[in-house]
Amino acid sequence: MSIPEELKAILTTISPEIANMPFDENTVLTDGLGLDKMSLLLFAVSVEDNFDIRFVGTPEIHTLGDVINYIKNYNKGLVMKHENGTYT
Amino acid sequence: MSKEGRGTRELGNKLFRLYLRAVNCPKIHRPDGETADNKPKIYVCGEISAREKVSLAGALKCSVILSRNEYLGCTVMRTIGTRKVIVADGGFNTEWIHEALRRLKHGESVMIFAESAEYDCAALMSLLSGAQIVPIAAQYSRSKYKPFRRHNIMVGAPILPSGNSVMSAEWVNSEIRRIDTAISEIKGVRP
Repeated sequence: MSIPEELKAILTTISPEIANMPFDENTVLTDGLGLDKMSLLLFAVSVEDNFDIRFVGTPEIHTLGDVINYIKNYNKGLVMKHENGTYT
Repeated sequence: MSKEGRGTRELGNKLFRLYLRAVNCPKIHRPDGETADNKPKIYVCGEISAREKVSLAGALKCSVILSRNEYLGCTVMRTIGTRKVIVADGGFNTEWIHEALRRLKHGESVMIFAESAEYDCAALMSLLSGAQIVPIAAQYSRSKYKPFRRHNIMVGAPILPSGNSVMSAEWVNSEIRRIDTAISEIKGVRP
């Protein structure tokens, strides 16, 4: 399975309504998919468990594309810390 | 004042301080037949004041999960000490969950408060760590403005994750409702 497909499977487990929602890299997690704070945390923990990664610090993640880029960068060892203390 | 008078006054002051310490020290009431054990637990507490939170954390000897605003914005909460506080940030910051799981794994209990945003994660942490959720409620022996009232901590029966433990929002909400019911039940219990 590709990364977007795995992410969709995780999100559908957390909230089954997401299966019928538009799903692309520009979809905003909170507004587009309707995820609240608890669901975001569940999603983050499930992604860490599924892809064997760790969200370090306070990453700037708002859309599905940000999540996919973070996973790819993490696997390449390219997670960077910025001046304002955030990570991408 | 004579020497005897000063000695009597100092003794009286010392006895009064010891009495205040005994009155203000929280007394823990456990369910019938249960004794304290060393297993790590996730304590979940209903709505209480900041001073009571500090008192609970000291009496139960556990770490406390607080949001960053709550920890930095309240002088009383900072008296708990940085070692015992796990500061929870929002968004995709999962470091606090991993820190809480690490402490549970090493045998240290953790406390979450019902009015905090992190309350929803009690069930998640119980599922990931295998620790039991224990509902607690704080009570006073007398009403608010009466002197010499005693602080009691009512400990409820442990709650284990329900059978179909899939990490979904619906499951978390149902677990939170179980915990809320347990807390409201022990709030009505008098010591």
